[in-house]
Amino acid sequence: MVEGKNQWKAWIYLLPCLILLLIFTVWPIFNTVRVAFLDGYNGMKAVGGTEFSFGIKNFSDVVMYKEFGTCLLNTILLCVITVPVSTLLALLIAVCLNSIKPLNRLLQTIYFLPYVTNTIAIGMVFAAMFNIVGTMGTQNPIITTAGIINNIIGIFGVEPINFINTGSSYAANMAVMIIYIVWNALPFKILILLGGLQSVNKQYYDAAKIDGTSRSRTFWRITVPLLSPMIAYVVITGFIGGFKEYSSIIGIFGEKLGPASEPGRLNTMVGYIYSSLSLGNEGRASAAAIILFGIIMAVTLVQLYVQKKRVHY
Amino acid sequence: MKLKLEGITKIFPSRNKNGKEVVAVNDFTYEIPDGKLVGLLGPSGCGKSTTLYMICGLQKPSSGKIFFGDDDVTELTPENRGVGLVFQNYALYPHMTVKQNIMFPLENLKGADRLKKDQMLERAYEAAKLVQIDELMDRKPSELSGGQQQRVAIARALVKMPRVLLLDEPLSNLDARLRLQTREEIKRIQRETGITTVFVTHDQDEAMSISDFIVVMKLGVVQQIGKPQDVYDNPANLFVAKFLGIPPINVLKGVVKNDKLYIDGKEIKEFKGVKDSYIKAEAAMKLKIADFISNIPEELRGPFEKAVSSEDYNTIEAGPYPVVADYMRKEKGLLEQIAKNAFDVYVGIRPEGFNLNDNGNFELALDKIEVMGRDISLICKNEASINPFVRAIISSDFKISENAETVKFDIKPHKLFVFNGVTEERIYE
Repeated sequence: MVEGKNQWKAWIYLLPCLILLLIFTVWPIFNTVRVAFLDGYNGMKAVGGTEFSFGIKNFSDVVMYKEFGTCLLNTILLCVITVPVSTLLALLIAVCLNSIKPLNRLLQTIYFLPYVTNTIAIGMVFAAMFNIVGTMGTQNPIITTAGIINNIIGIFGVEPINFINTGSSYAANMAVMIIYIVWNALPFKILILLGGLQSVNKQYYDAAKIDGTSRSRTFWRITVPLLSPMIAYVVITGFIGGFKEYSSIIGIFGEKLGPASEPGRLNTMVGYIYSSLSLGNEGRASAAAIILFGIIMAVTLVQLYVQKKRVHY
Repeated sequence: MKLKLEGITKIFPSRNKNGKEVVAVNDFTYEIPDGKLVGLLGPSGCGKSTTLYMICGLQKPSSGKIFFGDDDVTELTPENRGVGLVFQNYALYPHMTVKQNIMFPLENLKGADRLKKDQMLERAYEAAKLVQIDELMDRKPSELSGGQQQRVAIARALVKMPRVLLLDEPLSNLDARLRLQTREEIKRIQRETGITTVFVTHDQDEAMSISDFIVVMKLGVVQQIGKPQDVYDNPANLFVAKFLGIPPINVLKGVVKNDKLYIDGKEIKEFKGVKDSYIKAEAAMKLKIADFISNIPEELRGPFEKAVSSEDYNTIEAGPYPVVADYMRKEKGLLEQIAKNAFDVYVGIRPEGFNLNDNGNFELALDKIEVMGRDISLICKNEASINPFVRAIISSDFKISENAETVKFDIKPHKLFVFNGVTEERIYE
């Protein structure tokens, strides 16, 4: 502890960081809450001297707005599906990676690559992969399947599927998004789980071996419980990240946020906040942000509660 | 169930290309009688844990066979051997309660061996009662003391009624007081169950106190096997003599000339048979070198033999079999002493092997006296001693003046051992 009369020194050392935090974190949070409760708040008008009355009209606007339902549904669907799927896959891959001796380092690097690659770039590659129409450099008006996925399933005699282009179905769009998000979420989860696995005492496995434990039982009764703190961490951060999903949609569908025939079909909560902002509806954006915050908070609290019961030691 | 080890050897390959492979266990042959408690004893790195892991099947011997009763289990996986292993740090599953931990091996059983849930519970409670933890069944390992965890680990190993029970350094994680208690406990459990038990320890006290037999190992080679008291009273070589006994044995340099043993120039006693033993040791060493050469692959043998015959130690030591140079030096040393007809030996005298006697023929310079109540330790000095001090323990009934400069002793003949000064093997009179 710093002596009482020397405390001002400590404060001075902290000051630069505190000032930045106040300006860029604390004030914006406070201001978001304030703006959310000012009916119809608009930044330009506020500068012009307009007074806004205090109320909850922003919130009711958000909820009444028809696009909000779509955004909420998309966000929740993506979260609920991708987080468990990616966690399970990451767990399996981590366990496999951990049991491979040769090329272990190389494989770890390969699995970690998506993490350091630009989301938008990956999205564009995915968009190309799932494409159904491609001119292949010609002016031929006839549709040719250029996407690698459609080419592959074509080998097995399956008709090309319209994943993301005009006229594609919501289910197909969602499938692409899920594959993309899962793939993108794997590296971080693998990294955390692999770290966890490597810190598990090998003797537990020796003990299990001597007791004649089958492989699947060893996995479910020993590996998973011992990894449960890491799994909980990965799931919670996964949900928080999932609720903020936006850039991946842009990556695949571009700014239209959906196939050309159905713009905005895959919009998410963050997308909604973003578009409200760009339309000058700061009040509505703030309200939506607070609603999103509330949802994330609630989900996290539920998870922490479950974690207390299910996560061992 | 008797447990038979037939020439088991474990060689760990070298880590890199030029590294030497490590022989962790070398040609270990021993038959453990049914229902006995055997302690594998040795300093760290002597191969005792490796031996244990080979018995339980977590490691495969490079050569040799392991039998449980009449079954050859060498090729069997651990789960098919029917062994219970208690790990050094217990390896209790931290997320399971004591009950779940103990029942876990039973839940793994399949087919005809599979028990009903209530039978499992019964067996678990039986095992728990045996180690006296039946009141802790719903706790997690983290809520138990070290000693209790130890018992849970033993119960988990016993619950499936193993043919052989193995314990890896079972007491090393316990404090001194608990250690004393637990070792009695282990002995009791072993007696009650009658399961053939092997345990590993580096603590000779522990091994001596509870084992029916001890196996002393050094650098992968078994030094001596026997009942604890027999090994203590009759060590086969200097290593065993030094390793067993607290306080440790006094080792002094001595010379045997004309069948008489001298320490520091003074005659101690008559000691016959030294010359013969040196001649035998030399012949044995010669045979060992020849045997070694014949086992070397043919393409390497020519240059190697040449180096051996020209006593080119540097070449041998740089080659793949540096140990031969060591053998050759020893043989040469033995020959020299035989030629001189004066034999440098090590003399081991147990601290309790001294009798105070004013007319005794062994005189030591007294340094200080340590009083321990029941008896006293005379800390003496002698030029010939390998250790900094010679310790003599005598009954506290004897009164020694603090000012005495020297003390005279008789040495109890059965507490004095003579070892070959080159090979360090025991020389029997």
